[in-house]
Amino acid sequence: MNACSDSAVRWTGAVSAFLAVCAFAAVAVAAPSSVERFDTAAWEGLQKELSRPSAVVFTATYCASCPAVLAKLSGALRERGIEGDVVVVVIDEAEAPELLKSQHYRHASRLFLFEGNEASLRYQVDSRWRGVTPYIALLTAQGETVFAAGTPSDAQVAAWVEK
Amino acid sequence: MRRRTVLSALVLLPCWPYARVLAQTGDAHYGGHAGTRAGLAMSAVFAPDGSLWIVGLNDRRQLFVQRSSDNGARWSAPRVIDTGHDAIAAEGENRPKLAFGPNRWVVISYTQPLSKPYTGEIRMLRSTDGGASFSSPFTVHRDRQLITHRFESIAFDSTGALHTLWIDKRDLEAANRKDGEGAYAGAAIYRNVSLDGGRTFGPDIKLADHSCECCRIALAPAPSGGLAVMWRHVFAGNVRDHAFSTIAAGGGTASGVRRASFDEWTIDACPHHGPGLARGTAGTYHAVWFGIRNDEPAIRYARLDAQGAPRGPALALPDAGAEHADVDCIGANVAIVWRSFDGARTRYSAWISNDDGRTFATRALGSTEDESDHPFLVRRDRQLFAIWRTRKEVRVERVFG
Repeated sequence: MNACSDSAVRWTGAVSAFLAVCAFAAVAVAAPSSVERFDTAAWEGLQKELSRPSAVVFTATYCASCPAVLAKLSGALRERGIEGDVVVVVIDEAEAPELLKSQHYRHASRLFLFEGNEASLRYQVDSRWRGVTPYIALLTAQGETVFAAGTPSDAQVAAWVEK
Repeated sequence: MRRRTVLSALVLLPCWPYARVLAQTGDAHYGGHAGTRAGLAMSAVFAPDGSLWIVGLNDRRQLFVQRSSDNGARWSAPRVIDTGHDAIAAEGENRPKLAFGPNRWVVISYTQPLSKPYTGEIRMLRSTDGGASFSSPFTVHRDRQLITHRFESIAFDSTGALHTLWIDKRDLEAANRKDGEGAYAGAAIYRNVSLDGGRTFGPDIKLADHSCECCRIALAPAPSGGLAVMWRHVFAGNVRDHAFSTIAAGGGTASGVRRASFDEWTIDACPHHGPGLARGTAGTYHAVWFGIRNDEPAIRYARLDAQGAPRGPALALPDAGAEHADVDCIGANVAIVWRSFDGARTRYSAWISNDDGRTFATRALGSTEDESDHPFLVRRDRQLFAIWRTRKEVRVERVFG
């Protein structure tokens, strides 16, 4: 291998490393830095505030399948270059500092914690929701809110971001 | 050299916002927020002397017990139990529990969440003086990996053997290490037995592979003197129906696993909604559970045969919002209690049968605008009581007797 190709390889490697760090940093920037209250006004506020498409993922500290769902939804937005939000709402008893330390929520743009009557807050979001997590509100560009219990299928995700 | 310096700066530049975020986490805006909210989840049981005991967490997240000699009309002052530095799970289906055995043995159990997400240990305190004093907490299982040991259930059988069952992820972790993520569905049900009221325990024994990860385990006395067990299971295709097994008295062997519900609810999620189980007449059982069948979410009831197979159709409770039901019976008198939120209040209801579960009538038990726990049934001789906790009080309603 000649000097020229050595240099090209080094630069290619350096640029790749740079891009990888950028990608890492982009994810890190998105990670929430505070825990917000999810009270009786929060759901209505979120539906007005969030750009669309966005997703609100209701999760719990015992929900082992939830982090993969967050990754799937944020990945779907990123792949399509959409600047939507993936918001996480923790519905069970949790310590805010512990939530902020958790790597599981690094894909979230905002992080909330239920504050108040859990049954009432669930009912406000969707009266049919019986506490299953993940419970996902997919806010489409057309202004619809589509609820999904459990890991959403690829078709549901595609319908959410492409509608 | 200079090029390297510039490159290093370029590489580090995107990290600056990350460093900023890390710094911010030190003073994030969660002051006075939940995380200070103490879970309401508690348990209740009648002691051999007929007094009603409850165990839960107070506003300071301390474990306490309280007793009532008049079925909940008046309560003793709460007595805080020393649990050292243990964190204690007390919300939803994860709650402290209390059981009375022979020889003035009393045990309290709870799940202690550990430092990693989803991990925990099953902790216990024991009393040999009828609950006048308790030991320091100790871990019940032999496996000490930093993994899931959570959602425990405890019961003394007819011989005085103490059974502890819990959800355990040691097999999941081993499968992940061996074959990669996704190689093992759900978690497992493990158990052990103590023949001396919690002083020593036998080995950890697997009852079943592929349980659901986050639902309570229901226990009921079996006609043989042992225990019947029902839990949400992950059947092939991620179907989260229910399974049943029995454990022989005295800590003996367990039966095979039998499917007990057939909702065919396929979901990759945490329902956090475990079943209820009660011993019925003639070797049968009464069971309640939550599931979605043909897109219809409901709490359903069925009688099970001695091996846990449904006898007859599953009946949906007459409340589309019903959740977290419990069942118990006195002979042919069967009671199912549940809660539902109607948009303004949480309503507590009972479905009452006087013909061994063939027909039912609904009875309103109470309601609250307050935050409140799931309801459950406690029995004393031929009497049955429904009990639930709000932020303000513990409500006890006589159902039978």
